[in-house]
Formats: sequence, structure tokens, C-alpha cells
Amino acid sequence: MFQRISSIALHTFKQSVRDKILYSLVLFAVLMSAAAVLMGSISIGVTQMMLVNLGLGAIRFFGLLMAIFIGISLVWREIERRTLYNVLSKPVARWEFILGKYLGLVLTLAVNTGIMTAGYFAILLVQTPRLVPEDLASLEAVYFILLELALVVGVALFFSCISSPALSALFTFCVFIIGSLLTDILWFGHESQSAAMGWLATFLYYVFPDFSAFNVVSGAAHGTLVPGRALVSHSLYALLYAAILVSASILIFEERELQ
Amino acid sequence: MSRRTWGYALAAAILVSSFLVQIPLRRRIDRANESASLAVAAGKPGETVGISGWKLRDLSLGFDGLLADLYWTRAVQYYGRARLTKRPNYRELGRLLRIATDLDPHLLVAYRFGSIFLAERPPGGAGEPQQAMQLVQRGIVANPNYWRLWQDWGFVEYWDLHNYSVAARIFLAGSNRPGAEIWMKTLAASIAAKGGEIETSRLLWMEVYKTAANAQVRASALEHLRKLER
Repeated sequence: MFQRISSIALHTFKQSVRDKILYSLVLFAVLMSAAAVLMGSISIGVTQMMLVNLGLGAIRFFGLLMAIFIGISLVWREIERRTLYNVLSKPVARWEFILGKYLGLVLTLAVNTGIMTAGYFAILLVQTPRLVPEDLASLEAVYFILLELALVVGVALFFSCISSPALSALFTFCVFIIGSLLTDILWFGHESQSAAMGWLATFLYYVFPDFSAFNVVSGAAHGTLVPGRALVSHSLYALLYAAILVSASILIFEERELQ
Repeated sequence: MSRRTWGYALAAAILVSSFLVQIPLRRRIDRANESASLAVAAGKPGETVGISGWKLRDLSLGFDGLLADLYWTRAVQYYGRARLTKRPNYRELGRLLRIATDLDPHLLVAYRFGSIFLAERPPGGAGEPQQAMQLVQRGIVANPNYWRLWQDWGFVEYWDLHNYSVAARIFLAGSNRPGAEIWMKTLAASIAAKGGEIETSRLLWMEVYKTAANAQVRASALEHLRKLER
């Protein structure tokens, strides 16, 4: 079972890294980090902060693009090219296929994020004489970005099982927006003075993944380290939510009629 | 049970159990974040004309730090450009600084330089010491342990508003913050004397004399005590 899942994951990874558009996104992310040096020079006292905010912001932004881009066409492409039938005709369960695909995508994102992070730290080293312990906050922020990307790709995978790539991209983006504004949605619900709205807001608050919980970039720019307890709780939260998304994708994919 | 049914049942079980477990975990994360967000929210301003930093922060989708840096850069550019004109107009400066610090309440450089830009008399600054004070006070609420903001507030009271007694009390309060330099206390003592609070000044110089590790500071404190005795 594990061998089958890892084979699918590895194949997905190889398939994804062949996509040249990912390289251009990585290049853009590194270029944007480099642009922070110029931006910082026209301001006062924020050169380093600008580098961290823009560098990590670029990693997050381009990471999100990649997660949506590679996640939405995942199942659709396999059906369109009819390669899925070859895979499923072998002793591979549908849930193994989905789990393997998801793990392969997470691996692709991890490798791409790793390359962008290496570029970011290279620019950081050019800008500052040596790294200091506060720079560890940037690494923590990258880890949180990766957790967020793992959830976004899970959402994209879920929609990929039920819809076309264009609609999947739209739905994933909408879920990302809602997930980033959950605290405000909850606040609006409670401020509306309507019990139904309050209930709806609370429902949305617990159903949608909270992407804002993974935003520690601003703290990293000030060199603030994330407490160890938060690292554990956020990792667990991401793991649970990824499990929800993958399970939901499996349930849909198991029911899907393939012709 | 076939492989397909088994996979289906397992996925359903994982989905339900993960969903149920994530709710208490989510509440726990929220509680942990609550203390930090409450401290920041204490400095939350009221409604302003146009878009406020808080609204922008909500809509920034997690890019709030970057937006804060950009708004601060915009404030610096705005100040610099206005400063070069014959009749400088700094009308938008306060708003830009407010947005930058709403977006990132820990952007210390914006409070520090911003208060100078706002407080300084025209043409060098906006001549708005009250706005400068409000900016620094909001900075103190968001960064209570950063003593330099007390120094900046004290200077606005001293240089621009000439409230010597108030300035002395601010410098004294700032001197009790972690890592504050000893000269905050000596400044408080000097300004208290200037404001006519001789007894307060004497007590502060006495404390400086007793607590200062530097011999030069102790000698200076003794000299000031002698002057106050005369």
C-alpha cells in the first residue's frame, strides 16, 4: 500500500516539476525578493524589514499561485488524457491514487518553496554581513507558509475532483479569501444582531480552514519567533484540515463515475 | 469488505473525526492569539475618513506587513516631497502614518520618525504636536516595553508643548521600562527642576546618585543636587 502511494506521489512530483511555468514563478519570487533591496533604499529604517516582508510575501504569493495552478488540474488532467484508467486498471485503490497525488503535490510545493527560500536567504546574506538568530523567524514563517500551501492544494484537489480547472481555480480562490477573512466574518455575524446570521458566521468559522492563522510574516519581519507550542498546535491544525480535505476528495472520487 | 468499501469507510471516519478534533484545537489557537490581538486592539482608532489601516489590514489577505512598509515609505516620500516645496503642506502625513502603524502596530520607526515629522514646526514639519503625541501614545499601547517611545513622547511635551512637569513624569515613566538608559532619569530630574518641581527634581537626582553605576553620572547627579540646595 505504502509503496503504491509513494510511487504515485513520486510520479506526480516528477510530472509537476516538468512544468516550466513553475520555474518562471520561482524566478519571479526571487526577483521580487531582490527588488526589496531597492525599495528599502527609498525609505527610512525598514530596509531589512522590507526585505523580509517582500521576500516572504513573494514566496507566499507565488506559492499560492503554484498550489492553485498544480492542484486544480490534478484529477481533471488524468481523466482528460485517459491516463487515470491505466492507473486504476492496476491494483491501485482510488483513495491511494488521491492520497498519492496529494502527497506528490505537497512534495512539489515543498521543493519549490525550498528553492525560493534558498534564493531569499542568499539575498539576505548579500544585504547583511551574517545571519543572526532572529533570522530563524523567517524560517518559521516559511514553514507556516508551507502549511498554508498544503491546505490550499488540498482545497484545489477537492474541487479538482468535482469540477473543471477554471471553476476549481475560482472556487479555491474564493475559499482562500473566505478562509483569510474568517475572523471578520465571525465579527460581522455577531454584530448583525441576528441569531441566524450569528449561527451562520460561527458555522462558516469552524467549517472553513483559517488561513490567517498561518500568517506570521509580519512578526518574522520584527524577528519575533513563534512559540514552540504554537508550532505544534498549528502543525496539528494543518494536518487535521488536510485530512478533512483529502478524505472529502476521496469520498467524492470514490463515487465518481468514470467513462 | 471490499477494498473500495474499506477505503470509503476509512475516509469518512477520518473526515468526521478530524473535523470534530479541529474545533477544540481551533479554539485553543484562538485563545492563544487573543492576548496578543487584544493588546493591539487596545490601540485601535475610531472611524476615520477614507480607508483606515484596520480595514486595509483586514483586506490585505496576510500581506499586512508589506503594506505597512509601503505606506511608511509613502509617508517618507510625501514628507520629503512636501519639505522641498516653498510652502510645505503636510495635510496627509498624519493619515499616512496612521495607516502604516495600523497595518503594523510594531513598526517602531514610523512612530519615532513620524512623531518628529508631525511635531516639528513648519516648514520643517507639520506643526501638529497633538497628532504626534497621539501617534506615540498608540505606539506605546502596542509596544508597552519599548522605552524609546516614552523618550519621544517626552520630547514632544518638552520641546513643542513646553509642558515641563508632564514631560518630566513621562521621562520618569519611560526610565522604568526594561532596558531604559539612565539618562532618562537624569532628563526627568533636569526637566522637573525647569518646571519648578524642585523637590521632585531633588528626589530624582538623589535616586540617580544612588543607583547609577557610572562614576561620571554619579558626579553629575551630585553637582545637580548641590545646585538645587543653593
